[in-house]
Amino acid sequence: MTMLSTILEPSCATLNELFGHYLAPAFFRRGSSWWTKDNPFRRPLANEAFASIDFDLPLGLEQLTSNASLVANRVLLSIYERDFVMLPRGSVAAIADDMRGYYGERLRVIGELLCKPLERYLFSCVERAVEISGPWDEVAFCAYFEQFRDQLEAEQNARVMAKIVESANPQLAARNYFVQLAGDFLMESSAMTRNVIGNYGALQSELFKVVIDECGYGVHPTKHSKLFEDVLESHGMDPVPHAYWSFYTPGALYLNNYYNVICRDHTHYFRYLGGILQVETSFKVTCKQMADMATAVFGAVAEVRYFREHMHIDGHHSRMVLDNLVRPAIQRYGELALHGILRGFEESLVVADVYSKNLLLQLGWIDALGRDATGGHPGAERVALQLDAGALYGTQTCDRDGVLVVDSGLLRLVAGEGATFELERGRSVAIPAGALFGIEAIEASHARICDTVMQ
Amino acid sequence: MMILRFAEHQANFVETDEGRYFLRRDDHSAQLLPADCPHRGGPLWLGTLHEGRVRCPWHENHVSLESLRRRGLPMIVNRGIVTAVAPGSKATLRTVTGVDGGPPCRSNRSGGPSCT
Repeated sequence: MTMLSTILEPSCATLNELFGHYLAPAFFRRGSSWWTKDNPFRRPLANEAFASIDFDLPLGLEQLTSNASLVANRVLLSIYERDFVMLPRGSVAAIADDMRGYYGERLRVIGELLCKPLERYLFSCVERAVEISGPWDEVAFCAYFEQFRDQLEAEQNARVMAKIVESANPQLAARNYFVQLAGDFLMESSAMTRNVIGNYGALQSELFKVVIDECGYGVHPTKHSKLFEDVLESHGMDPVPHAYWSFYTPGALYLNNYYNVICRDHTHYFRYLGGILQVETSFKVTCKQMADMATAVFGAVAEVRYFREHMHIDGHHSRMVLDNLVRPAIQRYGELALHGILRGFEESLVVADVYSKNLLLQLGWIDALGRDATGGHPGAERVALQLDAGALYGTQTCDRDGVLVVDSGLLRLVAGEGATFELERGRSVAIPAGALFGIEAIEASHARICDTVMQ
Repeated sequence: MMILRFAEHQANFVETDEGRYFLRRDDHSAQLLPADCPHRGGPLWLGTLHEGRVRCPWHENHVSLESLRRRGLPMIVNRGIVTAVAPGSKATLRTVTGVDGGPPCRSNRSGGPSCT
């Protein structure tokens, strides 16, 4: 094996060694709190349940809520976001070492070596889910798109909104929904701006018009990410990117990562055009659902400018992307462009579905905790926990349904922002497969996570 | 022009007021191909495929798969759901089998006669 093939086609063992090096810096390890204050670089990546990634066996769609998916998605997003400028609200000096490490050469090189293998590990299943055939042309594409647009009801997103409104504590559910949006919306349009640099004619300028809207024309209070900061602040939540990093679900990270996959590698440019056409078209509808949910949950005073802005501007963006980007790209570049556009359009639907299903799972889990969750019949022990007072364990997901059993002490199970449940000695709680959770020892405690026994 | 949506396991034959198409799946993808032989309209879904050509069971003419693909329907399969753009304004969906009772237009690796 040549040195070059060792570098470009590393074995699974080598990749896991690199992965271990990537996880090593202190700012990628959990601190003494679940929440990160004013430090976008500090983001726990691995957890106690994580062992390794089987790079030779890419995940299937049904495995994307697994703990390996969670960790792989956290690492991949951290690799991508090295491309973005992030600064704290307060002192840079206070986090200068983290900033130097995050943007430093060591992580850049390791990250680049891991990036493609991680993309294959996580996103091969999306590529496999979509097949395109037959003599597509612009007319057929427009008929296909118009039917999508005219029949769009965003049923899956409507289910998420209903879940929030109908939960035991709708405000808690809504805040945790905003947590899942924050990873993407606070960085809004960062991934796509990679596509407005370079030189590729009129298409480039048309895309730039969309980006200008996203950035609020340089008027900071109208920048879309700032509008979402206002949503968070109106509920007393932290508007700094990744304050809630530990509680992003694998699905939320996955959605965020997908747009980085198709924007960072410019061979996927046409796929990106398809993806953005689908998103701009759907977002107009889903943002109406989000605004209605926020008003139903928080009343008429709810901060909904972010959602209303998209209800308006994404009608324009959908038309602009279709008429000024997608159709000209098909006319100019033919089948190659068209197949990429179709693939991006359909893949982005697959990814949105993964995201929504994971949201429904997590919101259901938070709701169950809020309704005094108990139960589950413990079987074989998976892991024994011995935690000192104040110690944290997680956050993570279980690949199979499990039961947390407290044998001594007092624990706090944490499923999100304000979503906690205390368990004393003798109590147990069922943990569904794929649900994100962390454990905090209020007192020194012994506990077990066990398999669930079906009764 | 109309948009058809159906589960791949529920139908493999599309009949519109402007043509008939059968769903053929190979190792790489699925395609909706013209069902009728361009010669005299023989049932190509009952034909066999050998070396990239479909042998019509009526007159044993050979039609290249590539030419059928060019005259097929634009189609996407997303997690088993087919979306196709079809000519005409009305369509019916049904299931057909190939000559041996299996999937339509099976591969005949030997190249020998596929039906009697």
